[in-house]
Amino acid sequence: MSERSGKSKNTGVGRRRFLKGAAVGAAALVTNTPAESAPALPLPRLSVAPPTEAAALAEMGLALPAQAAAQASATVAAVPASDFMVDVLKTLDLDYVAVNPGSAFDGLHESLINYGQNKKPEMLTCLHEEQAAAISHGYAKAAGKPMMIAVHGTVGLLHASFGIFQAWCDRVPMLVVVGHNRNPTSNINRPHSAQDMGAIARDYTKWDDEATTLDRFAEAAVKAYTYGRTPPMGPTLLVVDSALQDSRISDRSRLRIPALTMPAPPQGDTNAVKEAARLLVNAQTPLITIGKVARTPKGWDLMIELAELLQAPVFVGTYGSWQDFPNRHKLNGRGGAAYRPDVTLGLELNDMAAAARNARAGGGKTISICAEYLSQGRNIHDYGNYSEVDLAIAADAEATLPSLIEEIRRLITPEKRTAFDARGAKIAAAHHEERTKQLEEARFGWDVSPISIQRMIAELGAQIKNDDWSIGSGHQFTGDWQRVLLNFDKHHRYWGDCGGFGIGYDTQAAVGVALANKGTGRLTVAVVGDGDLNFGPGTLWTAAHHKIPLLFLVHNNRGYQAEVMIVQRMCSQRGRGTENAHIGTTLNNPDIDYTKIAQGYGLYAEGPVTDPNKLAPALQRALVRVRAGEPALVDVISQAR
Amino acid sequence: MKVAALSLIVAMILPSMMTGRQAQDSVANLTGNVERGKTLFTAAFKCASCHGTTGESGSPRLVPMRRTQADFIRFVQKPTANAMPAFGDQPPQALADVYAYIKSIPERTPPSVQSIPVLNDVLKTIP
Repeated sequence: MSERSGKSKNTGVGRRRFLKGAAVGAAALVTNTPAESAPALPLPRLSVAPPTEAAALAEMGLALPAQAAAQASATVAAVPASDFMVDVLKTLDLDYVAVNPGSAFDGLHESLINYGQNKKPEMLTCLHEEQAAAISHGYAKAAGKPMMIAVHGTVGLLHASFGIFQAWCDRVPMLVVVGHNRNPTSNINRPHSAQDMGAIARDYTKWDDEATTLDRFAEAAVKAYTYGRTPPMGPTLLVVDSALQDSRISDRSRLRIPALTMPAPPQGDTNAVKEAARLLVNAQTPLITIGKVARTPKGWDLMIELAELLQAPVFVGTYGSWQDFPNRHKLNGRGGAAYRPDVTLGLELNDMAAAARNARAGGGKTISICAEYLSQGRNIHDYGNYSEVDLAIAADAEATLPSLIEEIRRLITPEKRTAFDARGAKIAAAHHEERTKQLEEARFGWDVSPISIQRMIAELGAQIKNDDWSIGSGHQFTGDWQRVLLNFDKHHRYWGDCGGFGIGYDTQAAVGVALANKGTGRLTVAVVGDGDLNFGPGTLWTAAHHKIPLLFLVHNNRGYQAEVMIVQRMCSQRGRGTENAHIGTTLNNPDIDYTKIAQGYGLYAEGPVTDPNKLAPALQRALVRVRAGEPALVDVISQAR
Repeated sequence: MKVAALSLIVAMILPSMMTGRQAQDSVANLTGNVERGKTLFTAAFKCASCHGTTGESGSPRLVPMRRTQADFIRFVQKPTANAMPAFGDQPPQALADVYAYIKSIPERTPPSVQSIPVLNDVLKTIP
């Protein structure tokens, strides 16, 4: 798995000496070394005419790489500044860094693989920066911590931007390091430089900074990691001057790395939480509706505890939600068709406007506990409408659940307990009826070809039911069949959708989920649309190259079928006939052979499977390979919806 | 030639001169062509995008078709369901062809959940 390079002999003695010294130095610095100015001084802000690269570096006591090499031969103590950057990154609990290589971070790249020995973080080779970002997105959700991506200035960051955007909308942390040649000397690298590099992704990052000194790099890296992981979470971005990476440090002892201290997530105000508990305990028909609540398995357990304590139904929200409550739990759902909530508790819902309006119209109350109040976003309209709730608590819901549960427990009397249990029995009956009815629907078209989506999902579920499985793709293109047919009985079963409702997440993020699951004994699967797969097929190679085991089941309906109807509707609204709606929306003539594509990237693959009775054997064969530790793909010709 | 042209004009004008009831009767009396309807259903109108290639697996299911031909044509031309695109500019004959195709799909009673092992396994997990 590790990609250790054999090039270390070129820097042998000096680097080993530095490693030894750095280990001691870093330990001391993290604890109590006072702040000192770095030997690498900041690049001057350009005012009149930019200095040459050599002149700029000379002003800082630095040198161009060739000159630096000459200087290094003069003093064995001079070491690459990017080695110090690796020391900093190693304090941040980063297991992986996903890259598509770029010369603007080649210094850091070299230090990661040689000085850092390609360990923690280990480098993942990606075929596109968007894939690096999407892998990082999926990984963070499943691992519960961010990974890093490194990208080239402008071009690499622009390629990565869509994946960063999706993670932003999904409130998922990611450490984005952007190499920046601030003093370009040729027409080739001038377009890769910018006055304000962070601005390119600022609309969908939580925080960004540009490091032009090593001190500033150390502080900014720790800040970026800390801010990104503090709810509401999100990607953070650190621009790193390429000349700084390539510069030499003459006195390592003058540099320090700030100690990482993760802040406790924000909890709800005590009095507000008490009021929420009072409303919920006194409600006749409470409803809990949830967004992205359970960041951790503990959050999952707390959600179950809350629901069972109140005997209240839990509605797992829209496509944007993570699966934060077991779908087979008898309290899962809205409580039945006749259930009219008088108090609705929204947890991490960024938009309760409609719920609040409806509740007010019916004399009901709404409560919102949501970290979104602490960050209303920037340019992207993903922060929802203003919600006229009766009680708003700006806090992380998972962190607030223990105090809410404790207060509810304190308020429940034996009489209320009896009433709650009676309510719970009715909700359980409604849950059973609803789920059974949904299952009845799955029978229709059971043996048709192309294969129905429900059969595709059910056959997959049957093959993995005895594994500790985890699904890395979302469900926006498979209707609600995943929730109906798969048993989400553990926190790690499902990691939700893409966040930004953009195509191209499922295939790529699933690799990140599988990476997080690797070595845990979990089996990762992903149901990916053909349209989605075409946005990042190169991710298949990354999975094969790094031996990341997962099954890709391609839901191949040969088109952007959701769009077909939308275009048809537009055609008909304008009275121009719907016959041309296939233009621009379907993927045939020629049909795309995903089996060959996957095989070309080094995966075991088979298909297209058109006969529903041949699907199970195909899945079995592919899963043999996945359980043995490699990725595999099965292409299934499926119904459109 | 003149006769043909006259027939065409009459055919174009006549529907507008009909009363609502007459028009409904005329739509109801159209004879659909199953083969043409299948082509329209699967290729031209892309009905399968939502309703499945055989009308059985999608949402909503079209088999069994409970609407009358006249009701079907009226609905498809001006749907009351938000998600359904309107086919108001399609001639009634084309929609009658689609109707004929849907009606030709044999109505099959799906197997029970209990008789499909993988679904029966799911059923056992529902509390």
